[in-house]
Amino acid sequence: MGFINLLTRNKKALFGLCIVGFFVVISVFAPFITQYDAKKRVTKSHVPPSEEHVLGSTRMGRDVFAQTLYGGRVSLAVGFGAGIIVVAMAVAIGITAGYFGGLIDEVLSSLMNIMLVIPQLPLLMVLAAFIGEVSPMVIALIIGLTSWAWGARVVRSQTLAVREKEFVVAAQVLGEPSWRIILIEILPNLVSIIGASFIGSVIYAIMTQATLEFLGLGDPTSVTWGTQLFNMQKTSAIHIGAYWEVFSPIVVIACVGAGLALLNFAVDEIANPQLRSHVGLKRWKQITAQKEAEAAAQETTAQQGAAS
Amino acid sequence: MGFILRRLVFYFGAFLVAVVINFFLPRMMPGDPVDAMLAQGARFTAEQIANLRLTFGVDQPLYQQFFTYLGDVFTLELGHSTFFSNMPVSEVLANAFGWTLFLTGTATILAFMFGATLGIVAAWYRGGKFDSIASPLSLVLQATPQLVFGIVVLFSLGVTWDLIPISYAYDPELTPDFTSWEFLKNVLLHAVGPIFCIFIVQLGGFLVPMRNNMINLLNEDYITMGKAKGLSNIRVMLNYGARNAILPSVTALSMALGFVVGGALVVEVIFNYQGLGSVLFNAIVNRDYQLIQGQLLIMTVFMLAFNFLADVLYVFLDPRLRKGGK
Amino acid sequence: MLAKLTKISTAVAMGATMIAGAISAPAMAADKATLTLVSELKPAWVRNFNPLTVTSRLATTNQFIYEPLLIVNEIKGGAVEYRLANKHYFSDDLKTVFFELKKDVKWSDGQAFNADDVVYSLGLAAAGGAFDVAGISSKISGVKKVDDFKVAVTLSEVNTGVVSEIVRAPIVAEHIFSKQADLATFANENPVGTGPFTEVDTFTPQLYVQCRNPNYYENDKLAVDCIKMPQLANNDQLLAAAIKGDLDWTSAFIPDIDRVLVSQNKHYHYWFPAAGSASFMLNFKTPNKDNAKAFNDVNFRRAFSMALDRQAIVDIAGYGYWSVNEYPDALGDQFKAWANPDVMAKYGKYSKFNIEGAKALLKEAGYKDVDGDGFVENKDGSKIEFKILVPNGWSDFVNTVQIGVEGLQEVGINASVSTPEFAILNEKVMSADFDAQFSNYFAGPDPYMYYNTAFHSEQMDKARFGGHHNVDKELDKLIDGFNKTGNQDEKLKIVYQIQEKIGSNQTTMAAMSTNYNYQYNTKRFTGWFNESNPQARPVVWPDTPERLLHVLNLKPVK
Repeated sequence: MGFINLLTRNKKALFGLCIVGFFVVISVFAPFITQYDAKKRVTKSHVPPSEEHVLGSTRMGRDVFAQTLYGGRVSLAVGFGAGIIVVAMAVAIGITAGYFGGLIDEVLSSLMNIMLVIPQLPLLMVLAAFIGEVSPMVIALIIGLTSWAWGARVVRSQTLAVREKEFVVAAQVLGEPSWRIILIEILPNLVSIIGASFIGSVIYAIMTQATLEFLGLGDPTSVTWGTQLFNMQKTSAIHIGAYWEVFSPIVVIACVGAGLALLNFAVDEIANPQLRSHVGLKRWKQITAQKEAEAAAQETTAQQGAAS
Repeated sequence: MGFILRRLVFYFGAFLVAVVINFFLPRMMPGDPVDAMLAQGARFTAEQIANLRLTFGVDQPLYQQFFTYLGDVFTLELGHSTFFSNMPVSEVLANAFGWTLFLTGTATILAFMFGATLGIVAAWYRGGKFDSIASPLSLVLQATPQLVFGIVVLFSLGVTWDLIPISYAYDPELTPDFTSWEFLKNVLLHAVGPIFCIFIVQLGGFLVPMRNNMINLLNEDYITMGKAKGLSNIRVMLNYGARNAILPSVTALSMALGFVVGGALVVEVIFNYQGLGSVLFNAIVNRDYQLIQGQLLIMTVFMLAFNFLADVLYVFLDPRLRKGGK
Repeated sequence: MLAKLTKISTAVAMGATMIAGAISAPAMAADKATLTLVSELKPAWVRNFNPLTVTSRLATTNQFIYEPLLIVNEIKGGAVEYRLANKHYFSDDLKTVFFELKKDVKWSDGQAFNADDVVYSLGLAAAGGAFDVAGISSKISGVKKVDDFKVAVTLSEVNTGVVSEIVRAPIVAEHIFSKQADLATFANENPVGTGPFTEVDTFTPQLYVQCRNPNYYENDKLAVDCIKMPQLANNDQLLAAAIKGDLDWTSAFIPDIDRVLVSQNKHYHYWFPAAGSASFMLNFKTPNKDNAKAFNDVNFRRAFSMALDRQAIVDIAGYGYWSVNEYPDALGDQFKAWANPDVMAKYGKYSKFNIEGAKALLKEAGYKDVDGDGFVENKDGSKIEFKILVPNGWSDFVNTVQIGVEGLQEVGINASVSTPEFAILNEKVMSADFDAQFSNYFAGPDPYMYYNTAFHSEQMDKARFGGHHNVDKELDKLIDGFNKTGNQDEKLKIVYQIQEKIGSNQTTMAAMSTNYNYQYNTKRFTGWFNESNPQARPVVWPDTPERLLHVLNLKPVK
């Protein structure tokens, strides 16, 4: 399929996938990589990195390496979980609005636009405080349920475009049921947009979860990258120079974000082939090269003239 | 113009919805200002607590509070903050507003200028070294939360190397005086960290779309023609490409400015900057209803206003729409 | 583009002028002894010195502007230090308290202070409602002027402990306050008080300074000329200012204080006297029928108590600031003098960390792991599984419970941690709709407040402290009896009986005594209270009336 093609052709995508895959694998196989329990005291407070504790320990004497691994399980699960919710809602609402049009479209579009103007992070903070003791699961849910509007808007406009295509009109004339047209004719044409929106949502969910938990609105007893940062801040790790506790979750969050972003960049390129830097550009390259060669030639002549 | 009018009607509707949500959201949170005080370790007897609740007026029925609030919204009377010692909410917000606008406004405009310029360059030399590094890199930066940059900058530049201050908008020992260079220097020094963190995250948001628009445009025939006519690269790039490619970015800038009010929350909390973000954070933690709803209201109004501006800009700047209008 | 920039710069300038507007140049004579303290963390100062508005008044209003009648010194077992009063006593039937006032006290505007001021102020409290900031209206029935310098307060019922509560009502100037139309909105920007620092010298949102009251009746004892209050929004800012050496007197929680502060600035010292105790408790009335079987068994509770690694809790969760609490009734070191040695001897072993002992006790009492999940079940095979509630955001307590849970799981008790919002936790605990919780207690001058809030059945639906919901009418009677007598020996006897009741029942499982946070800077001032000079609670927060004694004890470094 296109995806595998893309990977083999696009180094960025391959690299991104490798990063994300790496972190997924090490979190899934955490018990085989570290012997420590992320929730138990295993050594003294704030021990710097050593052979026994590769990334040192926290104030509570917990192994930072183990916490980062096990935290990855939860943080990544929240990211992908929220991403699935977002995409499911965005596709359902976007296609419905775009395909059926009329009053349904009016209502759904207004809903999208209103969701878009309500400030996200404050809304999430208030919701998190309202629900209280938000477990990572609940965080995934509220991120998913409040962040679908952008994706829905994109899916809707793409659906509008596809709906006018001959093959869709033909199917309608043939009297195929709407669900069939949507599933068989329209959906496949939205794959790249859905893919991009999914990856974007995963990035957003991971970032947002870390932020909410850092601000103290999560469940401090769960082990995630966000609660690692929360505990780090609460115990003045920054002020006593416990860099290992500060940087472990940070580096991991940044890497996963980078990996996903690279993947997204590549997906964007399939969605919009013109962006691919090496396709269909020969003409312009030739012109530019020609112009540059001329300019260079002129320059050298000018220089020669000046030199002589 | 029909389009603008339709948008106006929509924005007014959205405003009304937001007003209702802003009222009910904070009140859905568990606890009230008194609970918040208790949760922070205040030592009160049961009798004292009952008396305190009286002073906060949190015992009025909800529908009564709602109608008072509705009337207040349209008279811009936003009530009094409990956390800020009974200061009028409008005053609390006005004090914080300037600082946030300064931080995020500066960062956004810098990000726009750098992002758009680099985007044009990347598009022109697409596939080249610069493009293949700068474009993905800026996307990666965009995918990294402000939280990460905030902590890294605070830890390295702030605490470890002690190059920048780690809290406040200016040294509290100084008397604010915006005509004195000493004071302004102090303000700038305090703003460097937060502005950098917001800037770096936003950079990609302008660079990549600018690059993509530009690439799409460069494939248009009139660019080819320009080139064929023998115009210099720079002229084609700027006059033919950038001028058109920048339009979507300008509307994007306008929308980004709509986020300005709420966009710096995490950075403000990390750097302890006295803007709207830390005000909102404190308000939520302390269950300061009036302040939360006042702040959410301001944020939505800002969002709507800049979205509307983006719509208007779109109509006036897009040559195709303009032609259609005539 | 340009238009936008200008707009922004105007907005910035607007914000700036708003801030700059309230500023006047802080002129301060260099030779004044100025003490910098932090008695409140706020995002901005708002000028309000009305002690009747609890949430708006500045934290330096009580004591520093409005002196109390007397101060009950909690650290000295409730010893009385007279301030505006110079004597107080009960009538023979213990239904009336008399306060005799000092005759040489003046308000800072020169007017004489007398019984009218006290009658007016306590009258406001007695009337109840928002101005009863001490919450005493239900306990006193009337206030009468006996003569110009003597006031009689009649009580609703005999209560020998009421004085410490009455004196928390602020004593304000009748000639000022009685003329205000609305006391709720009266900001009292230029206060007239009886205390040491009534003259507001500088006031900006970032900083304010209160200076010496020219008519202060103890001006000869007062060596501090002014107190300076920089605005700090949170602990991090406070810490940064402290490291720079800007602060003299603070009461903040600073994690790892030796590494973070003391090693950075040699003038800083700290003293962490024991404050209230803190305990785990199981809800005897839990709606979970299976858990209830275990929770109502004293052996289960004893095993629970033995599974708590108190030293680890103190060292790790409490940074070593707390002290281990191995009292069977969780009394804590702050009330050492009241402890019953018999109770300690009989039940002390159940409050000591002992994993093997806990396992043995559980086995002996018939709790077995039937289904092989590593956790014990009831004798009838039903499951025991519960969550221990602790308020969200109380990080040191969350860590405490996590350490507790590690021990519990090791002995085979299936407990876990849950961190609801404070308000939700309160609600659940008061209505007995939960399994287990962890709670701290406030201390007071004698153990009465602790026993009353933690064990009296009438308090259980009023606050989270009595969350075990174990009703014992005999215990109620003993607690009530404490304040029905004025005789100290009798009080001690009552406390001994209370301890036997609670200790034999293991009603709660003690963890630690928390501490008062207090840091002081010896660069500019001496005379600080500390371990070798423990005259009173050293805290500078506004709910510590003893801070007045502290400030009178300070002398500038020459």
